Amino acid sequence: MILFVARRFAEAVAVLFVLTFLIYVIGTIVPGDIAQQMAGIEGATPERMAEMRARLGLDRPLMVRYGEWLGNAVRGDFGHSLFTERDIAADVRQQFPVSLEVAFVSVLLAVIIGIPLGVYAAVHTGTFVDRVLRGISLVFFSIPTFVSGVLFVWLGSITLKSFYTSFYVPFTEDPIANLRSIMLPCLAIALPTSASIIQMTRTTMIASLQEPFIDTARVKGARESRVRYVHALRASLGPVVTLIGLLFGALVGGLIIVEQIFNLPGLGRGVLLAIAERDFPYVITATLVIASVYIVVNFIVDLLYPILDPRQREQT
Amino acid sequence: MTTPAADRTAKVSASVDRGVPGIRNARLWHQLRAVVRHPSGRFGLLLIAPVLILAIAGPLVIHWDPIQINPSDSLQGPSARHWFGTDQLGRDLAARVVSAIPVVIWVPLGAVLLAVTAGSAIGILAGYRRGWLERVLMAGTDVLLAMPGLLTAILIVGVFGGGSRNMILAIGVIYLPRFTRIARGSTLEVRGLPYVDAARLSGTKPLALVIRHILPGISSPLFVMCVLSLSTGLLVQTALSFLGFGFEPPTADLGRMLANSVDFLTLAPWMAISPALVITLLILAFNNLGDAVRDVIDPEVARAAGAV
Repeated sequence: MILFVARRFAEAVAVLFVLTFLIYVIGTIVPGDIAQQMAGIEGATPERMAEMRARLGLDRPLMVRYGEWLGNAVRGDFGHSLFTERDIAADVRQQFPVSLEVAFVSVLLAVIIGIPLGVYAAVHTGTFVDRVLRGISLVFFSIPTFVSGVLFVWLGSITLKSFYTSFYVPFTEDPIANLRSIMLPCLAIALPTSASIIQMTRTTMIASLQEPFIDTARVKGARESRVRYVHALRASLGPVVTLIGLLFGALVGGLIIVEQIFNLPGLGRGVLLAIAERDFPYVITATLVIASVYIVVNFIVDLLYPILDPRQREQT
Repeated sequence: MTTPAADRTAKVSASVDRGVPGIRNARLWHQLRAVVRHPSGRFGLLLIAPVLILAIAGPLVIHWDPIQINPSDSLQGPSARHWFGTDQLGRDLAARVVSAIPVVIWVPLGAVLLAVTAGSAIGILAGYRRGWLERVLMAGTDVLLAMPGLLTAILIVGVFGGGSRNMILAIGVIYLPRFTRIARGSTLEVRGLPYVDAARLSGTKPLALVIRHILPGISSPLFVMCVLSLSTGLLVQTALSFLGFGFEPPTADLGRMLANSVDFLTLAPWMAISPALVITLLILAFNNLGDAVRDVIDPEVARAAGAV
């Protein structure tokens, strides 16, 4: 187990290392010289360009610059934004919790909606409710976040006006106002996500309800509700947790879109702005943070699997 | 003089000699029919039909110019004059939606073709050669997989600019790892089979061996993955457009049209409805078609590939 964790950790560090290098290279060969942009079109005399390049360090070899960036990054110094000239690490520290909160609440909502409905559909297979749920989840599954986002902006502007705050309020400032300001963005992400959770829970739950250990539990005299909601549900959660891990990639995409639509000051909107402004030091840092979280989430999913499903324990 | 029966036998043996195309075509036909008969397949085709009809017949019946501005007609609701209404500049939404449909079909198709070609080449190379080359290629795949798909696409299109070509490239790159993994996995399975050994021992050159003996053996999982990827391809493409990385205005672009509608939602909700409906219908259709093709051809593929 320790060996497994250590190997995965080493792999993750290697992947992140290569990733930063790739983005660093792309950021350097990007069309439209950063120095030219910063010097301004009129002010771009050769002397001024050279001065700009020297100030930004662009006159030195790529490997040297990358090495320097990496050395600073390891110490937690990610440099300054080319655009706002603010400290990037400080900006990211402020934006990251916003994205994390929206992501967490979205997944929580999706799980709260998805698992009970999926279990209900599995227990009542073939009934009217099951068929309606399957139809709805099939459609919701295909709704892109930006469509559900626009839908919730519209709902927010007409019927939910009194509940919804259209500007972000930090949780530490006013928890209620905070929840009101992230409610619609979270619903926009949770809607399609819950659809896939419903489908997955239903499928795995039907499969586990037919397993021999369910009969064993029944024969041993467990109540039917216990058989369903403890024995069968627990065995069904493994694939659902894996699904949530796999959905994380889509979740990041959803966050970027939702933060843009709802003007949330998170990491996703930060990346979009930075790309538009060609602010590559920021882009590299934000990408590194997002990729790290992605890797950590997948890692946690791998660890959770055997904990949730005892049958998986021997293999790992 | 040959009897009809003998004639048939001759035809069958001839087709066997040519490497069984007759039998393979029959199987393809059978599978195609099975996809159409599959409930999801039928549902998918049913959904895709109105969009295709709109895309093909639309230009013949709608005479508005998709980029022509008519200030006097701005923000009008759906009517006989403007079927889907107009936007804030008075442009006819029906004409704009119709002119934007081809792109959302061609870009995902192009991206999938790019990814399946490059991914199979890399995957087969890795699976066939093994050794350090395999480790390097698969490490590269892992790096790509460590990035959320949309973020990768945004980075690529953000740096190199929008337009069909760059979007195909961006979406192709985020699909590359799935196809590489499938191709490598299938190659590893196939390369140990007796018929591949037989071909190798009888002196077939590596390239011919790959094309003639390995590729046919791994084609069905790759094909299934192609169809399954179409819906996410469309999703990423419209998301890029929505975020402003698609086509330059004034070109009609479903994602951007939806993004523009956000500022006018209370005044003109129809501005959002037609692009949102077309995008969702197509994704729903591709998802269902993908499910049907997977069920018919290869139920194991989805598990082998993992999702993105």
